[in-house]
This record gives sequence, C-alpha cells and structure tokens, in this order.
Amino acid sequence: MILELECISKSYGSTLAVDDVSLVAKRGEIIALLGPNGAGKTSTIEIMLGLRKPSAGTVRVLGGNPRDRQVRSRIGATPQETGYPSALRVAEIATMVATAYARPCNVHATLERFGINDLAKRMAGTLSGGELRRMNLALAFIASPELVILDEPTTGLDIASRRGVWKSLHGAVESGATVFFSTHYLEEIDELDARVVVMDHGRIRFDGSSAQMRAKIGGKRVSYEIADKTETILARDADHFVRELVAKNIPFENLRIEATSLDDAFLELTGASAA
Amino acid sequence: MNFSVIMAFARYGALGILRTPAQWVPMICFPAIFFSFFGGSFSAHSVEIANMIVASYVAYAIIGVGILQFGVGIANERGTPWERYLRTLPVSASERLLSRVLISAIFAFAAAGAVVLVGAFITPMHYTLSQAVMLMVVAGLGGLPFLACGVALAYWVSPKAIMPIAFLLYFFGAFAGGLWIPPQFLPKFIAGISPYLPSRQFGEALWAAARGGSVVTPLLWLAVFCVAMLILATVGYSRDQRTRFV
Repeated sequence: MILELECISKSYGSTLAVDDVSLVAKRGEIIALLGPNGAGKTSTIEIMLGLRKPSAGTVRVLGGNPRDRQVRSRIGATPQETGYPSALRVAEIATMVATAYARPCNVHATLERFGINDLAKRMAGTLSGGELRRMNLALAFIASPELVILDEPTTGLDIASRRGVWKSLHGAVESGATVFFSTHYLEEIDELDARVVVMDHGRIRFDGSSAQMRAKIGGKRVSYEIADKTETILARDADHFVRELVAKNIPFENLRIEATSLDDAFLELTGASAA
Repeated sequence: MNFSVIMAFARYGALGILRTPAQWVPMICFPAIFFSFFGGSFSAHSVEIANMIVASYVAYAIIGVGILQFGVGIANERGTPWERYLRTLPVSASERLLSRVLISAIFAFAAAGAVVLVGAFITPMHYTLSQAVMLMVVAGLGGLPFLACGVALAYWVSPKAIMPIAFLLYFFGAFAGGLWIPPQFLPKFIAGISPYLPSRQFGEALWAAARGGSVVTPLLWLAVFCVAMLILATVGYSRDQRTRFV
C-alpha cells in the first residue's frame, strides 16, 4: 500500500481540523482531494508529509513513518506557497534539492520536462506565478518519487499552464508513480481521470470515481425563465417536476433540462446550497 | 549524516548571502572599518598593544557573525514556506544546522581576516607563528558559544524583533566587553559589569592568546556560557517545533 491513513484525527486546541479520516491509496492511483476552504485538506496533507503528527490514528506512507528519511526520500512534495530564496537561480535551487536525494534525476532534464529549463539561470525572485508553480512541480519530481503529494498545484494558473501540469501528472502516473493532489478545480477530476475524495468539516464526505460522484446526487438540473428571471432547480425526478410546472400553468420560457455537474455534486456533498 | 547534502546546502546558502551585499558587507567590513577608525589609533606605536587590539576586533567580528548572520539567519528562515518545504526533503535538522555552522565559519574567517589584514597595514602588529595558531584556535573555539547564542535568540525572539535586539546585544556586548576600547578606558559603571560578559571573556581569551598567556580560565567561562546558551536554544527549539509541527 502506498498510503494508509487509519482513523486519523487532528485537533488544534479545541478545533477539530481532521475528524476520523481513513484513506488508502494503491500504486499508480491519482487521487484528487477536494473540499471548501477550512475543510481540513492542508492538515491531512501535512500529516501525510510528516509535517504534523495526528492527534489520533495511524499514518503509514510507503509502508513507514513519513518522518523517516528513507520514506521521505521516496516522496516528492511542493512548497505550499512559493517562497524560494530570492537570490538563488532556478537551476541552483533544483541542484540543491536534488543533492538531498540518493538517486536524483538530471536537473536540466527535469526542468525541461516542466518547461522551465530556459529559465534555469533566472533568479527565483524574478519568476512569475505560473513559472513558480512549474518550478514547484519540477522539484516534486526531481528524484522519480513513488508518491507525489501536491498541495493545490494548479491554483492561479492559466488554462495552458494547467494543461501542462495535467500532462506531467499523467506522465508520472504512467511511469508508475502515485499522485495525490488537492484542488479547487472540479474539471481536473475528469481531465485526470482521478479518484475523488471530498472533505468537509474535517471528514471525508465522498470517496470514489467522478461517475459515482455524479450518480450520488442523481436527478437533473432544470432551469427556466419566468418574468425575465432564471430559476434553477436540482430535481430528483425532472420529468415529474416539469409535469407539475405544466399542470400548475406556470408561464415558464426557455425550459432546459441538463445533467447535473460535478459542481452540483460537490456543493451537495459539502452541504452548501446548489445554485 | 550525508556530507554532500551539508556541503550543497552550505554552498548555496553562502551563495545566496554573497549575492545580497546588505547581508555580508556590514558583517565582514564593519569590524575592519571600525578597527581602522578607533583601534588603529590606540595601537600605533607598540607591537604588544597592536596585537591585543587586533585580537579585540577579531572577537568583535566573530561575535557579529554568530549573532547577526547565524542567529538572524535562522530566525528569518524559521516559519517560512521554504523551511517547511525543506522539512519534507530527506535532510535532517542537524544536517541543515551543520551547513549553517559551515557558512558562519567561512564568514567569521573572512570577517576576522579583514581585521587582521587592515591591522597588518596600519599598525605595527606582529604575531609569532605559535601566537597566530593559538589565536586562530581560540577564535574558533570561543566563537562557538556565540553560535549557540544565535540559535537561542532565533528561537526566543520573534522574527520581527530579532534585528534590533540582535544589534543591541551585539553593540552593547562589544562595547561593554572592552572590544571597541580597552577595558581600562570603560566608564566606571560598565567596567563593573564587564568581567561578567561573554564578550569580555572572549576578549580575555584572545588577549591571552595574543600575548602568549594562559587561555584556560576565560575559555572555561565561555564553556559555561555555551552550555547555558545550548540549553536555552534546545528549549526554544523544541517549543517552536511543538507549536508548528505537532
């Protein structure tokens, strides 16, 4: 097993950030961790990385304790924020990080893979947001890790850069790595064909495929216009709902019935109201 | 212990500092410049006095590296996303600390070397080989407590307050310890507390080394100070780890 969280809880004082979370990842899986802000995603990731200890439960990463050097040498992670030493060049930081590993990849080949080898001589302090994100990923993959743990790798990236990230993650999974990442973008689940784990208030609300997630809420999204305003309803039985509208003689226009989206499912799972 | 990691971290750490003159110019040049302003005039005529005053400014330079470069450096990195990221790498805290000690040793050597160089030009300073070797050994050993002091400061003072507090301690310690002007010229009140200051004891050790006397008593005194600072540093460090990484 690549990753095993067994009944993990984490509290800070009286705040329970992670509440009885159990999760298992197998080799070659790609898992997306979703959840609103404050759901406990970062705490869960910090526990996986050995940055924090769970208050209760056990965590095993690659069969061991994530604080062990042997285990850490097989994991790739990214800085949560991008605070690189501003007076070092991109290639210098990558070389410094690579030295920490027993069998690092070629630094320039790794930078090339993430499209930043032409920035190798640039000072880290002068990189743009998108360039920093790609640098984050390059560092995570610098020693062919068996498990990659990424905290919001695509937040703030334009669509072209995000496609580039997806391609790299696909490539990593094909070469046998397991990828665990948190995200706010629901479309990444389908793009990456990822297993979805939805967290809210410290608990896992859903764990399965995106098709299962859509099926979970069932129904259809029905929208229509009335008096120049658009009404949208998530209807369990759309046919029945429309018959009612007609029977009640409601003067609707532009009726549309659509499949529910992952967004709808996500909002339903995390208890927020569907729009 | 992975020696190549220590070397790589020291190399790139030092490179980052060298590219930021604000971080090394005060540390390496100020002791030599102060020496040329004040120390040189005291020591213009006598080899013995010149040797002593050069030793004073060597102590001043080394304390500066320990507190300003080592201590402030750790304080500024503490709690940054970069430090958090480094903790996810297969590198231990002691390897990172050793790489910092190495950087400080290099800068301390440079800062002390600048003082000696200026001394050789503007004073009649002259050390025999055995005095010079003794001076280097005592300077290295005596500098260690100030590294420990830097770590203690880094973990007990907030990163926002560290700069002014470190400078205050550094200047006060240097002045009251008799490193800027010899102890016999200190104001009476300061002269009373001076013998109890680690900076003074570091000075005493180097003065003894410079005139070929016994360095045992001041070094013992510094060893006690070092142990106290190590305890303070360890308690501060574990307190910090408890709040941020548990």
